[in-house]
Amino acid sequence: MGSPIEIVKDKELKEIVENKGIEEILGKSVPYPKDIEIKGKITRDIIEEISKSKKEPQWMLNLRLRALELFEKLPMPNWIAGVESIDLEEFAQYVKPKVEVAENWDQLPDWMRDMYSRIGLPETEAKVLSGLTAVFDSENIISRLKDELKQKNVIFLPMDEAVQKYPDLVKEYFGKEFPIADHKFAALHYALWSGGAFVYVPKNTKIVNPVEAFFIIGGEMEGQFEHTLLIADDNSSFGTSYIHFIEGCAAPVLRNYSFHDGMVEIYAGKNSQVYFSTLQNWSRSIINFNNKRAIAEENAHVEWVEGSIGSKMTYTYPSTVLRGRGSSTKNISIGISNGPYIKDVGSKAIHAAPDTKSMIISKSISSNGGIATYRGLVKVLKGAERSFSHVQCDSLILDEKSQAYTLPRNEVDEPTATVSHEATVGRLGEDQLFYMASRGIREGEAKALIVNGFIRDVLKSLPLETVSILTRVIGLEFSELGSVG
Amino acid sequence: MSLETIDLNVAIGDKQILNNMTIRLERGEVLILMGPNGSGKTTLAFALLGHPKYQVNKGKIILDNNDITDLPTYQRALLGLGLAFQNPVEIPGLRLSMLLNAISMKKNGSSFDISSIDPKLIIWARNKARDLGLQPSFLEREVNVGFSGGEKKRSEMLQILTMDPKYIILDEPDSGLDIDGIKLIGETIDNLRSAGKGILIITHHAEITKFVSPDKVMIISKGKIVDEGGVELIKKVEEYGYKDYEGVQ
Amino acid sequence: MKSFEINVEDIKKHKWQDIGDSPTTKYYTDWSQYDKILNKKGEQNFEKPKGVFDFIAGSCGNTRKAYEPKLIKPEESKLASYHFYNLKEINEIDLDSGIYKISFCNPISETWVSQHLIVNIKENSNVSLLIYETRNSPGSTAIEINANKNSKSNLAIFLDPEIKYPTAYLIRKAIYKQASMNSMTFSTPTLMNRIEEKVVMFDNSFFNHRSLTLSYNNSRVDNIIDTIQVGNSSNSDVSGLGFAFDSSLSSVRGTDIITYDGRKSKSNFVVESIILGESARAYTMPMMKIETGDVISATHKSAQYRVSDEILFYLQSRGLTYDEIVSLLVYEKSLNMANHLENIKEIAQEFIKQKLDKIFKKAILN
Repeated sequence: MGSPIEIVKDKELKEIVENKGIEEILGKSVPYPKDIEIKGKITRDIIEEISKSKKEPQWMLNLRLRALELFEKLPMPNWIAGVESIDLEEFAQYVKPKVEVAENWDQLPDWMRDMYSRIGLPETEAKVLSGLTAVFDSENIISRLKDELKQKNVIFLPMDEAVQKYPDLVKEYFGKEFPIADHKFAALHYALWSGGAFVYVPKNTKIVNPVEAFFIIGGEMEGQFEHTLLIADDNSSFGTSYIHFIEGCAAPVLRNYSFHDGMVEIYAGKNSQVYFSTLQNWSRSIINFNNKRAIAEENAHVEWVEGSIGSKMTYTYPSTVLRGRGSSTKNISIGISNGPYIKDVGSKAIHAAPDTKSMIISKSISSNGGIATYRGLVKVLKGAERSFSHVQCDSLILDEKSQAYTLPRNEVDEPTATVSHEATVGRLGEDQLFYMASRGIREGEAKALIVNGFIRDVLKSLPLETVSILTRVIGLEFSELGSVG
Repeated sequence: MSLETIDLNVAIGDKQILNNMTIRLERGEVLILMGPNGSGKTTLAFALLGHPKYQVNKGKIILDNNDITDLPTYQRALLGLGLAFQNPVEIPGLRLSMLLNAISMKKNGSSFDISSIDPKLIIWARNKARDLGLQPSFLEREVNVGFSGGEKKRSEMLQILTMDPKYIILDEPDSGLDIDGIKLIGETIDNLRSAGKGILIITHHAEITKFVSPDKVMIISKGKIVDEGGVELIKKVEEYGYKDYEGVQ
Repeated sequence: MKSFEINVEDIKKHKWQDIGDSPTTKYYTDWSQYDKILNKKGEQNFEKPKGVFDFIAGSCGNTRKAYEPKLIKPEESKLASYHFYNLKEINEIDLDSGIYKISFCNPISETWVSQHLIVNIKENSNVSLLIYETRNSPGSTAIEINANKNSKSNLAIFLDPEIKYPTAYLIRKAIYKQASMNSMTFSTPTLMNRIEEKVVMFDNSFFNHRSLTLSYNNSRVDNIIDTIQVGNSSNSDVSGLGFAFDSSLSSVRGTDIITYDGRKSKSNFVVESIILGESARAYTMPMMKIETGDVISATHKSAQYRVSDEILFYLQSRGLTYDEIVSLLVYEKSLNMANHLENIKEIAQEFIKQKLDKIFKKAILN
């Protein structure tokens, strides 16, 4: 008999084997990412200048310098695809706070003003969100909020101010939840951080009306390398403190930087409940890194809600370390990649104590050539007895050009734990579109309807105002306005 | 020869559920235990079988003069105590026929050999299944997976028959069954009584007593026995409910 | 006779894996176990397997030799390179309709032994096939199965290596247009047992696969099942089940890929790892890469758990001890993994029964 290849009559396999394509299919089925090119350099001088201009204590300067060293030493993370080059010199320009995007309302692009009015965002709010803080008189609102919180001794300040006003408190928690050496871009963040918010809720504080505790970050607290630190101190028998933090907005926002590397650290003390929601719909030229980590002590509950609509690429993996007995976390994420963009989102739950629970729900939608990836880790350490974790990740792919990846890891070292995971990938089929068309519903509108239905059960966890804006944004995203920016 | 509890106190964690329960079940007797939901009926059933979550903090359980209070569950079963669950758990992957085979092997005292299937048992089981209103093919289904309420009760009864215990506890044996099903279960219980078994039926309504007449009726409320008597107690509860017993110490 | 030359100095320079498996556990396969035996030198003897077989592969048999592998190349990975470096011959078999029993020779050695078999299932044929490998040496075995167009096959692979040696199994299958395959892989554990199964599916093909692995006596099994659907309207249903006893590790994972050409395909991937020992560890990593929205459905599920307290109490109330409950559940779930094998279902279940009997009787479950 002849060589095995001749016996194979299938033309496809023959071609593949002869072109050495089979190992791409069977062997290395994922092409390795190219190395990211880093242009320019951040010098120690730049770091020292930043620290001096913020009047920071020595320990913060030391932290920045150590982080810079680590940034240079640490290898490029090999799970990042699609980032080709990063210009460090560009960053150096933008680490100073208070960079206005446009100086007046008229300078905003037409489509953006149009979008705001369709969404129903009042001009005043829209101005805040688009960064025109100088124009908008937000003093009234912000100072009213501050008075209420002052009565309860809750501290709510821009992060830069907090370092100066409460150095000891900040030092106790800053950089402790998210390790500086975790990966290269975490280190870069720590070297260049600027802006962000600091919230401290003292022990035994009971916030009765949750509305009081909505903190909206805008204007001066936003930034390219913002660092937000939330601390909910222990709460013993006096009830629970409940903090809901919302950052960002579903409405599209212009930024003039192209690389964002922000961080959120949360310390949830005993019996506390912390909810952190992020909505992001940034210009499609931005590469968005988000480092988020929470530590949950005994009986604490941390909930992350993440809605990612904009940016060219978003990498965000909110993580919770369940360090205290009985602590729990819920992680909800919605990622929409409408157009040739990447949403690489996920979550990590580390169970390090008995009776801990984690629940992760991820909904991702890709269309028009978009890629939506869910990347997760559930790790249950030995001794985390009777821990329970469930991950549900569903992907909706709206057309044949788009893709969805689901990459979970479940590592269980504790025999009494139960860990489960379910994922589905669904599609918007021709039949569904035809059915809708026969009811007079156009393709864009049909997509918006289906997407809203797909994420409906997740929307329940968001505050009403956010939901209505988000729903309208999604509607516009998929209908005539398409992928804008 | 009887199954008795002597001054039994049972708690789950810090919560005390049963207080000073003294009951006695004779062989060849049907005892009905009635009470409202939350009165501790299922707790008693689980405590008799030695469920690890239910702690006996006082009192004893005696089976045929053996103190079984500290014995592990499987030994109590092998000594002749059987429980038909109200909500039996699903066991994916395990066929009912294999479970019956294992039960039978243990009962006969043979060494446990999972790969040996007793054909006589399978034939017997098929016949019994048919008597209980189940198709023979039912034996190939996974235990309790996707079973309707009625199928669960019949399957529990089939397992009890295979175990052939001396004392049988039936937790809500008629729920989920239609009138024909209840009649069937009732008659099966009657036959078991004639065969000399001691039977404790736990229920909150007494439909089943239309088909099997109890020898004794006990009323349980808030973890205590608050009344004892004969069939007349059932009529009383049917007319007036349990509220008369709520204040009883 | 090898048709490729491997430069071993070259291989040594490479890493076993370019990318770590997870942020917390770098590698699910303990590569150091393979490093330890790579430099060993010594005798290699080959015993004829006990039993009656239609074909025996390896140097103690007389199966036809082939010149080139089809579905696996040395460049693929360091492991593949070492496999080919140590390989003395590739055997190849063509099968037409029928039922066949094939076995490898039994290598006895302290050094790395590679074995390699290619099976071609003829177009339009109906083949049922049982492949056995027992080995008393470290090393790797590659099994390539080509299920040609429109063929129907039932395949059971039984791997029974000696527990003290690190082993690797490289199983590759190609399911061509309109072909369908029901398959099962069953393996006992070793110090480090890596089982890599990769399947390529072409247009209108069907693949129903069950993989069953046991880890006991402080062993480690890393079972990877990758399914790549490159053909349209292909349908895959894959499940992996691992049992981890005592302080052993069971990892069951894999990636299901539907490429752009795999439109209108369907896939379902389920992995379960059941923890049965006080220090046992179970890792699952079921991944999906769907490169087109035009799929019928793609789902996957994974779960790691021990036998629940509820199930334990229920079965104890029937008179069964904890050990009896475990053996009953392991037994039943294992036999289920062969239910789809049609005319070789009984033989496969018989093999599994015998293996489990041996394991349970040796009382290694503590």
